[in-house]
Amino acid sequence: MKVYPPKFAVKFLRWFCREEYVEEIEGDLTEIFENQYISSPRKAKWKFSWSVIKYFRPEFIKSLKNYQPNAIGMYKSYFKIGWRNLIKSKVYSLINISGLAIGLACALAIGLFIQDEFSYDRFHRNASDIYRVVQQQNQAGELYQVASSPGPMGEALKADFPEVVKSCLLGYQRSGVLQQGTVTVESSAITMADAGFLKMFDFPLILGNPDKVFTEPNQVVITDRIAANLFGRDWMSNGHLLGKTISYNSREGERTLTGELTLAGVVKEPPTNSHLQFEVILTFNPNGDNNKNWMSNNYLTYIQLAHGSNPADLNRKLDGYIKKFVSPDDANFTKPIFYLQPLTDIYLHSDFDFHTDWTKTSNIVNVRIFLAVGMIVLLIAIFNFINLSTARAMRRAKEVGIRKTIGAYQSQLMTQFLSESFLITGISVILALALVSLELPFLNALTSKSLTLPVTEFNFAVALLLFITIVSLMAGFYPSIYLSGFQPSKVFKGVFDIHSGRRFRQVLVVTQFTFTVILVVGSIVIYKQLAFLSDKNLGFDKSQLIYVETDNLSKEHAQLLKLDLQKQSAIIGATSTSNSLIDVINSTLGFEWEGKLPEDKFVITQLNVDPWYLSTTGMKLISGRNFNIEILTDTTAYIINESAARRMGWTPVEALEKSCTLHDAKGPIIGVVEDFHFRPMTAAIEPLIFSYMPSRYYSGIMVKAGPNQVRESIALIEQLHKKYEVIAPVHYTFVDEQLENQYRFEQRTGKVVFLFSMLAIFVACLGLYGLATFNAERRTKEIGIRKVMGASVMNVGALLSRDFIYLIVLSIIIASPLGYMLMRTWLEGFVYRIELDWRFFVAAGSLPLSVAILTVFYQAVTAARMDPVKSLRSE
Amino acid sequence: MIQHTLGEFEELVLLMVAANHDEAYGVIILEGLEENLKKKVNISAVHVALKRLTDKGFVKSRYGGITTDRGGRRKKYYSITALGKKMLDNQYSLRTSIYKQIPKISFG
Repeated sequence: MKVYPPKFAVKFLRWFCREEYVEEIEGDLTEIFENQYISSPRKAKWKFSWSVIKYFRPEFIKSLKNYQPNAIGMYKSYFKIGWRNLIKSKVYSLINISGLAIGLACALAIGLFIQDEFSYDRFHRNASDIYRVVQQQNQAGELYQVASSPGPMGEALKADFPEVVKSCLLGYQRSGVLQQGTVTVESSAITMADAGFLKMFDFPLILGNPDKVFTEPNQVVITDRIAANLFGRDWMSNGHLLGKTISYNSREGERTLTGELTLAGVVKEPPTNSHLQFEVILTFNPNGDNNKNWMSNNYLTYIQLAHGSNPADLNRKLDGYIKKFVSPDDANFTKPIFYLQPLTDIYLHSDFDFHTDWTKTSNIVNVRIFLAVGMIVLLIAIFNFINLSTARAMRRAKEVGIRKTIGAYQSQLMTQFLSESFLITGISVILALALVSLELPFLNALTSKSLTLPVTEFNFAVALLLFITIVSLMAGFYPSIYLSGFQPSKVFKGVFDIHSGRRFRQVLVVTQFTFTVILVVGSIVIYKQLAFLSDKNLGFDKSQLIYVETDNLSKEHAQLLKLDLQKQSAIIGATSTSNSLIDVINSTLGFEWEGKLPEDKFVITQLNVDPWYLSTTGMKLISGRNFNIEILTDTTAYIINESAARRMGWTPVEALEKSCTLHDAKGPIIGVVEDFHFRPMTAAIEPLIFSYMPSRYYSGIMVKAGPNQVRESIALIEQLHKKYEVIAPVHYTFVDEQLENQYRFEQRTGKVVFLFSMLAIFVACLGLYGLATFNAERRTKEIGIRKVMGASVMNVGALLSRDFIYLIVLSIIIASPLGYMLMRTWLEGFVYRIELDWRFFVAAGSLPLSVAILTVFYQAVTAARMDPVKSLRSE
Repeated sequence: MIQHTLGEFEELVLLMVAANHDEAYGVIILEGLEENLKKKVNISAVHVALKRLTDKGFVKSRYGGITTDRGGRRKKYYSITALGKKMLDNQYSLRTSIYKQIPKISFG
């Protein structure tokens, strides 16, 4: 049996090795190979290849000086011919290059965006070993994902499982004021952390010792920016910063935190691509906070596993672990299932209930939509290139014929056409880079990022080169095979099948327009749904509604402020409330009602308000009455919403005077309000209960400004707030703006999809224009004859555009069901949504169709208007 | 004339070429070396050494006849030149003369 050494290795050896040595080396290697093949074929082959690689050294490599001097000249010639072809047919080159440039610019911009989204939290050295302990809770049969966990969790895990090497506990703080001497700084990015925080995460300390930070109570760490605000710009030169006392003031709900804190360190501001954003880090109070309580899920727990350990093992061990600390018989036991969420998943893959994740997060769905949309525009541009190159193949046929006759291989011709596509892609990329740098500010505004083109980075250059190569291969591969496949004998005889490749081009055009139509459907549906959301009757009047936070004020002062505001003529109403009406999630299971079956339980959302609430917000009572300030027993009475009444099995009228118990406070139901939206439209309206308990917590005052008196009202709010609180400024938000803000991701998606669908139409029609021009050129004689025979300009125009119109109509037919399915999936994310209307699809189809008709028809009419004498004379 | 030196491995290869006079080619040398040294030697090392020896003028080569073995490639036979032999002699006498200067040391 004859055995052969690995073909590739032999080829490689012959390619690089000097001729005078090949004979000997290959011979010897083959002999060794043959000897070894008998005992172990695999080893022999491997050894042969390995030996070949060992010869790849200067002594044996062909000298560069006489290395195929023709090849470089050949490439030069390819580029020169390519360039001349570009110049010769300016229209096609323009279409190709501008289309590709737009497609590439989209892809680049989206690429930058996605790269940034995926860079989150990867700067930590141990990023791959850090996990967040999250849980799934079961409340009254409903499953909820909760990002937070009990305070002692981290320490307990570290003690019980050897693979947990570090743990860290974070707590939430709304906002607070730091004071140093006469300087005050307010921060709304405050986090509470334990000593593990700076050890686990790579947030470098500029000042201070990471081992000593947070080992004592009442310490504080601030970022360099806050340090500059507190101690002046030259804080670095102040040698005695550590150990300075800073007074801190914050009201968190009913609790007030004030105290003298010791500065333990200055940390570098976290990078923007960190899901943990903070300006001030406080220590936990060892006695005061309930971070030792296993029943309160108020903390974020992060753990670091020993390098190389499998999180799945720990996940298994976590099952039922909580029962070691909490009795399952406890009424508040939520049957939690704890599991680990990788640090690098947090930013993109967090969708937790009850606002338990207060860190900075994004949404993977958006990233996927952006990626798809960007790729579509690029693909459409690439298809243009393929279509135009193959359609115009006839013009290059003679060249191919001659080259082949002289002795060119097909592979050489392929190289030639590929280098042409490389040339065009290269030019387009340069244009695309310019385009991207122009559109970046716009993109940054849209995505609230600060992206830049990293042109000076080596990695970027490599990625760009790779990108150019891939795109030019995608664009040039089919045309190069197609063009280089011509047979010289046929070409010279003039036998040329003008229909060859036509079917393929048609498929590409249909694909282009299918994508385009889907994009247009998408942008129409998103636009309609967003309009529906903002126009939908919420059940209350959101206009001129201002929410004023009163966490800075004491309870008495807040009440006085409310009374002051009610006296102002510019203000229609003011009411105390425990929530801002934006995504209210303050819900409880601690609710009982008359006639309740023992096993029946549901989650009810609670709002603590006062008698002015319904009039201020414009909510409507269906039955019963409002709270009355003069009826003293009303402070133990309740008003519920329709859904709550329905859930308990009552009509709004039946519900009246029924008694219920909220958190052990028993009282009658005195009224039922019409359902209103207190959560985003992605959630259904759930049962809700209003209480009027002035002794309990109010978070703020809801103010209704008079029409056109918003500005006066704001001024009044600021002025009156100052009466009661000198240091901390007033915080207020407009309810309608905040409501809109809930849909900012959707709005962003809508804008991006709209923009890209317009670009897709433009690029696709650009290609269509090219094809139509070519088509008309090819049929010049036919048009001439038809005109001589009496065809009108319109006849000829219709004739030329007909084929294209068919294709686009076909695309619309294909795109409609696809778009329908895609958009139905998107809409399913909303509980309240528009119905998909057939008119959307007609509108979505007619837009690209009309632009395409205009393009093609314009071209056809231009061709048809030509004087037949001219077009027929030439023969 | 430049005084050429002889590396340790080159010397071994040169010895091998001399030992297999006019019959030495890559694989024979390789096998001979592996047998004598009791260790694996890479063929590329042998070829590098042969190339250097040729450049220095210690060996000369000729091609053998075409066979169907070895993928149809000819063998390249090496034989030692007079200069190479002289070099080996020098090397040998140098070593023996120094060796003789070793006093009688007992390693008992």
